[in-house]
Amino acid sequence: MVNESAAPTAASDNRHQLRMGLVKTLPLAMGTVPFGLAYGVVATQAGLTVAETMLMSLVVFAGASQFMAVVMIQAGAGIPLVVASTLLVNLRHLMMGLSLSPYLSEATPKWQRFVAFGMTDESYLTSVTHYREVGEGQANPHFMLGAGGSIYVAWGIASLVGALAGNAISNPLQWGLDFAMPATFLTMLLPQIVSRRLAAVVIVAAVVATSTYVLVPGKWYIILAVVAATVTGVVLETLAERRAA
Amino acid sequence: MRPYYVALILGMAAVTYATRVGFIGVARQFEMHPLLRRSLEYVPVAILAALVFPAVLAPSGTMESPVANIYIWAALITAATLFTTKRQWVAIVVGVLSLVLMRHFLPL
Repeated sequence: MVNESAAPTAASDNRHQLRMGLVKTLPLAMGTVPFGLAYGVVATQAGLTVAETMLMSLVVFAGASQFMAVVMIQAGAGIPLVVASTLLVNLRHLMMGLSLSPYLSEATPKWQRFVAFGMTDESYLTSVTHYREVGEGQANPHFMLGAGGSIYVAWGIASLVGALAGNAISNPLQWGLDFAMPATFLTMLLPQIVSRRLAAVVIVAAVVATSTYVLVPGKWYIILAVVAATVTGVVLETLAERRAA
Repeated sequence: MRPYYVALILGMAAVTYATRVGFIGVARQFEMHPLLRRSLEYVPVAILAALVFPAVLAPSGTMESPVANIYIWAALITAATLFTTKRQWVAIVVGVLSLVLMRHFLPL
């Protein structure tokens, strides 16, 4: 980044990266607000206290599994089943971590473990998009800290407001802010479709994800879409190389 | 806080963190196979597509009539705004506002 002085110190560059991570993730942080509110409402309705509702948001920090856990608690499921289901819903994080790892290979293990806590779908996507733009050598974990922090604060505050306000908030998912998330992801996706191969990869991911989403509960639609899309991409790449050779 | 629910929440937190931290250090510890490196190039676009298309095409969990689905129209408006203005923020705001307006004023 060149908008700092000619030779930015490491500390000021880190601050700059942190701020940039926060700002770039802001639309997604706003998009998590209606979901956080809704979570706070349903968690307290399911019988969790405000403190328990908040503990879950602050230490688990994973929207889909929190909603699922609350529904399961209400249905009387035991701890092993809730924990095992949480693991399944969050397996997709493994792929995200793997995809980020080349950019964090210069970071100390301590930093890797620290920023890993803040990795959500949203902060992963803004971080990996930024890291791809600047290249592996320039990837700074402070960006991911800012990205994760942005989502964490929004999720925490929204959960708290939802838990305290309860039914006074009517249907936050109908406000339209729920569209901020897919709209932001769409604006991140479109500029990346720069070749026919990438268009093919996106179409395969879209078809596999949508059909799995409709047919299979949980987050398998993300995992299956990634598998299908990466296979498509690598096969098309290999075919193109063979043709060129 | 009741100990039972604290235990449940800490159990969830432990497995969730394990998925997040599990592979994040792989590239520091191992030389990745070139095929794996190439595959990883497609992961971000695949996840983006997986988060956009189901949310827009099946917002309530099932496929709906595309004409009556205001999320599809809002997505098209978002895309058109991005292409004309080239500004991400403008496209997001216009997209969200268009959804709000359609929800309030269209008899769907």
